[in-house]
Amino acid sequence: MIRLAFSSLRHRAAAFLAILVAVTLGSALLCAAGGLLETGLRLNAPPQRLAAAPIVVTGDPAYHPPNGSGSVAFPERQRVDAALVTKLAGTAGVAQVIPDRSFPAMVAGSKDVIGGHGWGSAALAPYQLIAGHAPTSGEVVVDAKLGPQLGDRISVIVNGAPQAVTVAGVAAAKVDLPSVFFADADAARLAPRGFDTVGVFPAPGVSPRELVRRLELPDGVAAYIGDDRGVAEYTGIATSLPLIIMSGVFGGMVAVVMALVVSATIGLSVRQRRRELALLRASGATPRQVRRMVVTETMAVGVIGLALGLLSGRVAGDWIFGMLTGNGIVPSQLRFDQGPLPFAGAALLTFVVLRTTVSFAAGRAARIRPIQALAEAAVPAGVMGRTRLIVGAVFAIGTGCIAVSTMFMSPVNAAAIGGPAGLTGSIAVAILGPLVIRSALVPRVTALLEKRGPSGFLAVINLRVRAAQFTAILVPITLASAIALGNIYAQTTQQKAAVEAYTDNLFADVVVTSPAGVTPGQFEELRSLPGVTAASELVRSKGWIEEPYDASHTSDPWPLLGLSGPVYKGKVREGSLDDLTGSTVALPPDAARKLKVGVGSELGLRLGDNALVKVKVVALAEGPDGYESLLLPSALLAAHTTTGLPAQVLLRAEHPDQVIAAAELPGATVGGRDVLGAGYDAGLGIDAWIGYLLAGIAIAYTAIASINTIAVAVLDRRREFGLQRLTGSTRRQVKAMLYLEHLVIAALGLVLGVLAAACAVLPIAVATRGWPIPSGSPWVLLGWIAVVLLLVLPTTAVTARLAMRPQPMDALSSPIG
Amino acid sequence: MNAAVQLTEVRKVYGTGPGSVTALDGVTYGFAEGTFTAVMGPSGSGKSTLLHCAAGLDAPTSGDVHLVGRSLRGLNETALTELRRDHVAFVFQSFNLMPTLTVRQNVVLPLTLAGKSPDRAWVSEVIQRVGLGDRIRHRPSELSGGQQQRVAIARALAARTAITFADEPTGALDTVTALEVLSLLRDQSRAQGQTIVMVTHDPVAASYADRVVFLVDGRIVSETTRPTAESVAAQLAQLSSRSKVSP
Repeated sequence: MIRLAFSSLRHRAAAFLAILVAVTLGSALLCAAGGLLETGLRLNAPPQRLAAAPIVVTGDPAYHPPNGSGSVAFPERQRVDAALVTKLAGTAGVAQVIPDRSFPAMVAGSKDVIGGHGWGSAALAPYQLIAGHAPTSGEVVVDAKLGPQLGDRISVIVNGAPQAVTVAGVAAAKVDLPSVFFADADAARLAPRGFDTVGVFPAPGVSPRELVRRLELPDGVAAYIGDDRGVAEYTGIATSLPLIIMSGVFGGMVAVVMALVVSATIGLSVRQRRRELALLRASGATPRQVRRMVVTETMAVGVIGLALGLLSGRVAGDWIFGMLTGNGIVPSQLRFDQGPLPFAGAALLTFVVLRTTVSFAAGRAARIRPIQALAEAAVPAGVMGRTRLIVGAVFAIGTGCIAVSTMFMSPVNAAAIGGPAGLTGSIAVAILGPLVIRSALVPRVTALLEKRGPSGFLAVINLRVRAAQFTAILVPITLASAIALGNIYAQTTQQKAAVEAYTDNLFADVVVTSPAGVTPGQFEELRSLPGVTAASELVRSKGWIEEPYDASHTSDPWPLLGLSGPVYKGKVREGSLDDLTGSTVALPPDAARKLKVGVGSELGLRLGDNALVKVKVVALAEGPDGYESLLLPSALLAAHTTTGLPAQVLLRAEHPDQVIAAAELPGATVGGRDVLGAGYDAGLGIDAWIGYLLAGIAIAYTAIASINTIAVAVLDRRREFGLQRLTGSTRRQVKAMLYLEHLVIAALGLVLGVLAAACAVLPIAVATRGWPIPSGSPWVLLGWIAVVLLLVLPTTAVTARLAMRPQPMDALSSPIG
Repeated sequence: MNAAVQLTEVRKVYGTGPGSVTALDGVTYGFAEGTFTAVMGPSGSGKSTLLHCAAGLDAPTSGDVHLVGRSLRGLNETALTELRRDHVAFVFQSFNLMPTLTVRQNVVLPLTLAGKSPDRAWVSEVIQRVGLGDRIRHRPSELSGGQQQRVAIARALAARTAITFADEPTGALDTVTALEVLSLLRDQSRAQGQTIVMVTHDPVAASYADRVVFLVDGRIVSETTRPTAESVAAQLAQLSSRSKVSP
């Protein structure tokens, strides 16, 4: 039996090539997904700037909602109390403590924001002086990578104000992000709010782990050792949730797509070899033996593919992770961990998927009756089983249900739940394929085809009768169209919706952006520019409402908007935004209703740096549906951000160009209203990347599956073409028939794919923008249509030529299969 | 003598309603052990269908079939296959061979599937006697139609099963090889005691058999023993004219 399996493999290499490629790709991508999962769980980011200190004490980087479910990264840096530093220094077993304060700084002339510190914290890296000496007041030591030389007089912008300093020394360390060191006294003056981190050095003979156990730390402060210290140095790696979600969704879709491609390919192969398998049965093979043969053949190929995939798993993982870090989704200092577990998991999952898919196809093979070896006409029965119809209907209806229910969800949930609609729709098409193809041959369509002459007639007949074979070509095209178009347009729609929600709510004719912050003095300067009718600072952050406890925004914090002027467009239902000063807040009316508070109530807000502030509600202001924010005075909010100062200023003016020309601020860029949305990170980073990656996979899989199935299906009809040519068709007429058949299938696949994608995208459009029109470039759709045609037509042409190369008589007498 | 193959009131109807075709209309016959029987009749008389039902390849609509004393009624596919594997060899009219296997591998295929080890000497002899000794390692695509047919016959003989069914085995062969194959078959039944049932339209081939059964419109109409080519031809002509008259 095994020998039989291998002999058939050797002779049908083409048919099995698709399975090989699909499994290789699938398992490599699963390894990558597994690596992402492991990385997300471990979150190892070896520290660089804090590498010298064995223990690092810092504020807890993650917010734990009081009801205990999960954790979310704090958007802002927390401070460590100075008293804690003294207490740590006095603890037994501690040899030395070095506190570190960080503040954003920009060397004048460069666009990058780097870290400013006191010289004392240079020892934490450790930075070594390679020239000059430690800085005194008015001096700095720069990282060698920055450029300025010993003795240069440079300007460093801190807190919006340029500091004129002399380079007293140049230092170097093994860090990616450079720093500039001020004298400790200067640093304390520039960043009065306190320390961010404390490096603790244990006394000789005391192990860091032991010392950590002994340290008494207040709530909200934790000690880290080893590679966990990275949490203190880099932002954005506090929680693993985004990576874990991504690896799950990604891995899941890869598995499903792989299963569909493999099953379509094996299904086609079994159908083609029907006569051969029937002959095997007539020669004495029991159904079980036939089943075993099909399983062995496919598993043999699958295992080779799996091995190849595992070998490329590291490459795939590095590539995908590289894309994520390269685009800022995760910090580049996060180490990509891909130990043996992801590979083992990928191997297991691939094997299980493969084995299950093969079992179904092998079941069909085993049911072949010996009498079918004698059937001259190789046309299968056209009736679809009842079970199959029901299952297909379930998937189709399920797709509709998902589509409808997504329309009523919040934007975030809509994105997560809506995606699968494309997938379930494609599965429905896969199951109901022959029925779909036959129903598509309505009189309009057939009339159109038949106008093309005899080739058209034959094409219609072939499509109807061989609907089952053509399903194998229809499925990959539909699936890929649904995934590619669905994901891309879902992303573009959401991006647009988020940006619109952000910008449509604010009046702004001129926007001033300063990464290092805008001081109150600079704000006044801008406000008093001629032509400016109104001005406001703009601070953005995230936070939670803890008193009374708001369960609606826990893992997904409330967006906070800090304002200091009349630039908010949303309707104010109660109270007035003019009162938004001091410790006050404005809520959306729906939220106020749910929390049973109103104008005059007091709330407890947990801000982005873990501080709990009490604020009074002074207004109920509406925001865009699904994207509401809490409004706070900019002075209050800015004080609790990492930079400490507002990063943007919005100005209203009659003649914006005049103001743009007149406005000038060191280190800042001035632009018109369009700048407001331009730099906006819609916060969809990870989701967008899943979307685009999946679109890429979809294209790759369509290419493999459709080329393979078209080639195999056409070559199988060699005898038929020979007969056709003997009865009077020219090669060209046969080719015309093939083009027509495959064009119909391609068009049908595109239409169905677009429909399935629409089931995912339109509800998202409704949920996020309010009406069922997605946004995104129409070129994507046109480009996709071009890709599909480019795959289908040339493949048809090439395989048709191959199939008709022998003389018609020889083609007739060749053994089938 | 026992009947190696016994058919009892076997009916086979294809399709339903007005478009249905009755291929076999109540056939009762026993093919005795060790006999070489030729089944003949005009085209459309149900010869191939009779063979398929008798061999257990197709299930009759009604009636009973017994092979080597066992009833085929109610057997599932696996049991049916095992019964056939152990006792029956079949030579089809066309498409007999696995395209991916060599001549030798095709010949021993049923034995391989049954898990039995082939008698090498006998296999080689059989292949020689059908005239393909120099083509043992070739694949079907490298053989002519007639050569492919000879491989199928060799396969049936190599298995040395109790019963062999052959559907027009000499149809594609030249006269010399045809006669060689027919003597082979006759030897098998006389010397080895195999039961051979052969469908043919060739009176010369029929003359090698012990008896000839004539089938018209799905019914057995007559039988001859010790046939000669001339007597068989005469009877066939008579039948053809008769079937034209019958409704």
